[in-house]
Amino acid sequence: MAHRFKQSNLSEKLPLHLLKYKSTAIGLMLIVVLAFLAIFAPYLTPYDPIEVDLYNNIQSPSWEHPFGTDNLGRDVLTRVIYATRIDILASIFIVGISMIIGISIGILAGYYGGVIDKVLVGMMDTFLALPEIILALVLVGALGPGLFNVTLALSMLGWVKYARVSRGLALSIKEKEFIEAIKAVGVSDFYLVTHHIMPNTIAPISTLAVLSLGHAILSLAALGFLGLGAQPPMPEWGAMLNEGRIFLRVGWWISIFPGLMIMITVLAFNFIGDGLRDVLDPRLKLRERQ
Amino acid sequence: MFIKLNKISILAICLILFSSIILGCIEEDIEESVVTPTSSETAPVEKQTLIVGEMWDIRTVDPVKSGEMVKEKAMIVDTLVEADPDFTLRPGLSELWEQVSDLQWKFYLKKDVKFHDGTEFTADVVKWSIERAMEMNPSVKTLTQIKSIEIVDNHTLLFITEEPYAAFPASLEYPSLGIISPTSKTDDKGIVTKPIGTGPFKFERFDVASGTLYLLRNDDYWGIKPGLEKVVIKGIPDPTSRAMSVEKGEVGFTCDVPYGDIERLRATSGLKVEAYPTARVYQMQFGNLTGTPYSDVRVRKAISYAIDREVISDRTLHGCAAPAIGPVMPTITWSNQKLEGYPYNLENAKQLLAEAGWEDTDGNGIVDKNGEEFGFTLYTYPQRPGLQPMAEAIQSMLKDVGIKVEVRVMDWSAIGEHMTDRDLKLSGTAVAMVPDPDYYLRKTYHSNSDSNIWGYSNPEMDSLLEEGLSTFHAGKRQETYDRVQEIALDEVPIIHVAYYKVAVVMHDNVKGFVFNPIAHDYMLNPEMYIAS
Repeated sequence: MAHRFKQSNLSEKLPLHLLKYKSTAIGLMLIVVLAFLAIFAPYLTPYDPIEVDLYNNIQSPSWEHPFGTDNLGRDVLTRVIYATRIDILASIFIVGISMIIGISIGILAGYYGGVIDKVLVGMMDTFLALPEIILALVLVGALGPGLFNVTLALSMLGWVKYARVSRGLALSIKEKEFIEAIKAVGVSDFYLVTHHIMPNTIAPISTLAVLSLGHAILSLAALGFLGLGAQPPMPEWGAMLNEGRIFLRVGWWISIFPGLMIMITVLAFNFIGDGLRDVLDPRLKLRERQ
Repeated sequence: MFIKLNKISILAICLILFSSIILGCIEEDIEESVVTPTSSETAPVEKQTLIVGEMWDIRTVDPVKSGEMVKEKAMIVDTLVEADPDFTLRPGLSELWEQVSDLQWKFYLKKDVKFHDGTEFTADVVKWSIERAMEMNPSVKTLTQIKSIEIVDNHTLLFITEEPYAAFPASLEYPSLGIISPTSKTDDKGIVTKPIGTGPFKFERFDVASGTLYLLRNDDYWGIKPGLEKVVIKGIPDPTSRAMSVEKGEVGFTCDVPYGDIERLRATSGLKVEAYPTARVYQMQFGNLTGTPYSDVRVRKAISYAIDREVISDRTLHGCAAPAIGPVMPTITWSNQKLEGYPYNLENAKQLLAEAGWEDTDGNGIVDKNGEEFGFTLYTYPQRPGLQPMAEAIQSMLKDVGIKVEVRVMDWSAIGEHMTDRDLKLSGTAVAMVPDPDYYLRKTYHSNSDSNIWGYSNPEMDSLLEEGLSTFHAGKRQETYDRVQEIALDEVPIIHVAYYKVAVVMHDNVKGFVFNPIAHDYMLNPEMYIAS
């Protein structure tokens, strides 16, 4: 059906290729563990993440509370586990939405060219000139704080890099001979774009997407730390870091563990992203063979 | 392959570094608890010099613009009237005052007072200084109700108020009314850059870049001789940095450290820590008292009974708050001592809710009435760190009586746009801008007040509050305000959760400090000195 050039046999061997890289294997393992935590959160811990126990606040790590308790007596381990669910889901949502917007705009610009291209590229350049987190602050300021609003704001702002990459790809693919051939058959533009151009942008875009997951988690945590993201008592890594900030000297565990989780998750996504790039980039493969 | 291996080693190094940081933190904690802070570590400090870690950035030294700084902390200026820690008035720059008629007050100024530069302290200087404050700051005019000022003789003034105003002498304590000499240096906009006052300390210089204010002892002070030679006030807005600088010895006195640090600092040798209740109250206001479940007083009482104020003060805020009874803390002279408030009582709360028709009919843990569940959003803001944990504690306490609360934290100014009639707001509000009961009580409970956006209206309350304004007999006035506080507690148009406490940390050798809660944050006193 869909014609994919250069990498027809790659998709079947992709998992095997990936596992050859040790860092990628570690990244994948970490993500599997995190996904397990997120999915089975309620079965992994006896506590409720928002159950307050005011008489047992700021308890240092013990058998009962392996990561200690926070200022309101909530179990930090439980909150960290539930936060995994919220942070990872939200970051996937952010990347997913920005990818959809980015690819649509990018291909539109690349495939049609002309005035449409000029306008859209201008738009991309404008967005690139503004720091993402500041724009997010402005948007959240207008929408009001909350996890949903932050996710929405970050989704609206992350599309530019996908748009640029897919525009470039669309520009080069549309000159290929097979596209000429398909055009000669007389298919519609829509069919051509969705069935022949888009499938060929998937490899580079997916590398970018995995790398952006780490970035999305960091932005989410940054806005959470500023108090704009998840509203209390919802557990979210950035917000937990902020809550523990004033207790850093007496209860380091309140903010160290969410901080570690952010680091591990971002690292895991970056490892996988690196591996994907190595496998999918033909130039790198060529160099390796030599 | 080499590159890949490298990445793993980077990961390993990262983890090792991280764990060593954590371990380092723990060890540091243990070490620091035995280290005695010395006041000579960072700069060579002369004897009798006190460095103060101030909680706000210092931007101006004009008493009208930042009266709290110039009067209460820097002690450069005095006001005509002062107040004791229990809020009773005492003479300041005026020896005594008398009421001539309902609208007229005569103030006799102290005669042996001189400004820092030797300028005579006279009636026309006071008139000029107060008129300048009224012109620059419109709230001074509303607070004092001054219509005009007449000079009787060189040391006597006659104030005429717009309306009969029993709170007038107290309003002259307002720090923006600190008296400065016309010889004070000003910039081209008329803002004072070098204040010349009559207080125990003289302005030496103000370093705008670092926000540091340097003061020298005024040896000709009309009151007691100040103990300190020099005072340096440095703005350190971050609470954690303040705690660290007092530990390291960079400052000898600071306040409002993170409440999580209080117990640790108290255990540190060489430091004194005390949390003092101030005239600020953590209160919860309803969106609207009409057309909501809160129009039923039983619901308001139930919410008040369901809040465990003791545990919030002692555990959640680590002793940086005191359980509130009514709006006025019991140490203030005009508080009604007979009130008992709403001690934590789950049974009472549930029963009152049931009487009001709110019962859990579908067994989901949330009370409902006519098929509608009882829930609201509790709004609060991040500027005062005690508010968010307090809101979360209240959220869990109200869950126990079947009320579903969501907490939203956003900027003070944005709350108004989002809050609906059904929602509640938790805030920390000043109870005494001036040492008089009228200020907060009329603002909160009078039906005409701009602050009373929840629409509380009780004709008896209104007439009592108006009566208090024109009752000049102290005993009768107290009766009026006792009754006001009684009704306020009985009808709970607003719920008082806790009194704000400010944590003061100083070195053991700083002596003579007396906390005065009339201050807006804290105030220093001339009796302070440094023991060798």
